[in-house]
Amino acid sequence: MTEQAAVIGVGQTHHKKKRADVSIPGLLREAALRALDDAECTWADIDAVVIGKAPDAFEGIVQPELFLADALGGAGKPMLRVHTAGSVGGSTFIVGSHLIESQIHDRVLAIAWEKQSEGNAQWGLAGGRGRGIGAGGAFAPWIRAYIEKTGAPEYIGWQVAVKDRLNALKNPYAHLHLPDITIETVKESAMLWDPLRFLESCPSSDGACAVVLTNAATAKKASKPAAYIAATAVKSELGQFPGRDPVRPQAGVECAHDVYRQAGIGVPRQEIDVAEIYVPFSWYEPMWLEGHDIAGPGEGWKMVEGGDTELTGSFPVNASGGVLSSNPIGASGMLRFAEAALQVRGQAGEHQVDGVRTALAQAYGGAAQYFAMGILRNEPA
Amino acid sequence: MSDTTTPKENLVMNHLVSLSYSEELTPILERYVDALIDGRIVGHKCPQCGRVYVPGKGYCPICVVETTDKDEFEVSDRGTVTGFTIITPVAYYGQTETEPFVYASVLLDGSSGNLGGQDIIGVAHDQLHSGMRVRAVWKPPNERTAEGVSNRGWGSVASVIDAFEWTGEPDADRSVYEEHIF
Repeated sequence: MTEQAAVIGVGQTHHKKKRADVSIPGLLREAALRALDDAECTWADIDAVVIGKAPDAFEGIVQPELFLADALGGAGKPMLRVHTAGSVGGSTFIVGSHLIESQIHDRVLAIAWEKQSEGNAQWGLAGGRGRGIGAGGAFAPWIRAYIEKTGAPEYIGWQVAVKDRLNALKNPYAHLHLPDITIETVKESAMLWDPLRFLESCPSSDGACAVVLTNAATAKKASKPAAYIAATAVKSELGQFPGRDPVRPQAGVECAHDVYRQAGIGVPRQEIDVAEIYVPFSWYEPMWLEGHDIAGPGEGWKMVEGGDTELTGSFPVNASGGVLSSNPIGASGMLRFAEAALQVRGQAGEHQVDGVRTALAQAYGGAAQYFAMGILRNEPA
Repeated sequence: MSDTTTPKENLVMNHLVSLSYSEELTPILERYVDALIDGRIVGHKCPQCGRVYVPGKGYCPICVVETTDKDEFEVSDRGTVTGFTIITPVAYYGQTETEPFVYASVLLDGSSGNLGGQDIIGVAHDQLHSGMRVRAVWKPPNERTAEGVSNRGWGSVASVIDAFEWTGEPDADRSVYEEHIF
């Protein structure tokens, strides 16, 4: 016997290169208090806290959840740490939803964060060694493989980079606000990880995101609309094995099919109104459109080219500006779920897409080997 | 509250920790390293599916069957570039690279999986492409060590092979490496 879970509160920080005005606990409380306020709850209403972030080496603080328990009202309550690399924000959201669905708790605070300015993610990824390649270095060869395989023109990456930054202008929380960005400026920006250019890459951000989760029965009584969780799935696979297709990882295909099946979605392109997808490097938009069978093989880049994924297109992707505009790594995955929730609740403000009933949220991590996906709806099942 | 003028730059916490671990390599990795120092690259061939893992894992993770010394299989030190990027290095603490460098995956002839993170020499960066045929540039025998091979990694050749060099042979057909991008 399970119960449907729902999002009744969403909170996020203003994401910036350096949030020198707050400590790490202060950063998390900023998001948590906004989520509690949105949910019309107090700390006392929360039964359990689920917290996620990317590797501890990014800030150099081992097991930060231990010292954060206090700031997050965790004393005397269950507090769980989740880690699945870049997808952790999505997995944290999903673990929180499971605590509701299994009827273990009535109200759960799920929160994810990163304060990149207090450390060096490149150093963390390199494990202290030289010849560190950064996340872009790991993904660039696969992006090249996608381009070679599909024959996509190079301007597709530039187009996504511009589209997400223009969307971010409508999102007051986004880190990057680049009103003057054009295809030309992206094209002329420095080459970092060939074929990826500077403006095709995500920024390093400080930020946090929190959601208050409860059961559908409680959510229906809330004064504001809720986002009902129709489906969630987490899948993983080995980062390296002979025959692995890193451009279209099997775990990503299966994760997508799992949530479509749970939500009764037969044709995702038609039955999903808006998608928040983890796109830290521009080319991952068409790659995931194909990798999650929203577009057919070699058709993902054509959706980008035709403007389908723009805010006013037939399948808007990352109306919030996405990871390309704000990347507090641990929080980036939860932001996808939080923004999907805002869209179905009709509370996304200036970047709201009209008439959203069904939203897809996705996060990926590691060597594109961890996937966390969800379908959110404006009505209970 | 006596000294409110202390610049924030002085509030850096130096916490430089150095820990040394020593571990015995597994018997399979011992044989792998011994062969590398001898100038040979050996792996395990799965008796069920025929996939060749370099170094051997002691099992095939796809078939879930054990592999042993009798499944040992020598692969070539020549192979094909399956994917690559050219990285402009970020100067983080400890970064040793200052100029753009190649980061390529090489599928050795006979192996089913790639060697990641290899340098490719003998070709200009803008001429580099997938499908290029390359051969290992071995260190002199007396400079080959076991450094960098650990039970926790995916096997490294950096302590015996400096780079891979373009052979000048015609490119391999895409079908050879398409399923082995990583």
